[in-house]
Amino acid sequence: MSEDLQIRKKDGSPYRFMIVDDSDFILKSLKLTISLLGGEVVGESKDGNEAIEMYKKLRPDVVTCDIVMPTMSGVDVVKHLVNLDPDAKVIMVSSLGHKEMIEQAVSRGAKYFIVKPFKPADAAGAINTVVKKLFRHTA
Amino acid sequence: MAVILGLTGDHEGRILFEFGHATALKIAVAMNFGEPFEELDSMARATLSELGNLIAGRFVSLHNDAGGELHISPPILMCGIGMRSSDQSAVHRIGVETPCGQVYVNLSIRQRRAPISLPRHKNGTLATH
Repeated sequence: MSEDLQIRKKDGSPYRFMIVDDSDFILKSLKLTISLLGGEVVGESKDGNEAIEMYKKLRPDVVTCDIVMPTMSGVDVVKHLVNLDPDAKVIMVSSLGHKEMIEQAVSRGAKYFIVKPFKPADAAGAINTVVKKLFRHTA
Repeated sequence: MAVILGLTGDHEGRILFEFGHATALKIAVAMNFGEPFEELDSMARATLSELGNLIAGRFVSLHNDAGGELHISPPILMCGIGMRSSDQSAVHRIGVETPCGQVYVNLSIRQRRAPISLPRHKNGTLATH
């Protein structure tokens, strides 16, 4: 496991992640990605409505969110989460990587977009950079 | 077995990926970084569904970046022997030889027809003869 990818909060505790994705395969891949970061997965949901309720209870530091899901689009999930918490930090993870979709997700409040498929180490590197930027880490 | 996804937008139809049992197992192993699968358990099935989602998502993204508008539905995995489809629309079937075995891609797609506009009176009621 690469120590370079590990990231902690300023108080030394792990970042708390919530994963929203209806695919068990992607849930597993993202859990591996987050373990490479030294993060903690505090919640996982396959459904947008459930994810919104889960966010209210858990208040994770970072949410990863799919787009194509059965009951609610991930773009709508982001909109709800940002309405609920303007400081919500949501990273989209989707196979739909066209320009319009990325712009739509960012306009609703997403902070970053990872296009599937991804290798866990590559995704961990990208999330590491984004988390440092979002939480204003200094070298 | 097959993974099917619906397509809607400026075109409508579906994309279907077909593969045999042995190929499916090899794909599941390859996508799970070598983790062995002796049977198509729930994780192997989720992996195959995601494969369909990844390829269809790429197809839709390329189409949309070229100015189109397509959306995909979540994938559905179907398992069985001797499956038959009653779909009568034109199908493009492409066989792809992969390191895991043969995968067939079936694409059935057509341009969406404009909704029929019936003549109406000024008050909105249908104008009938």
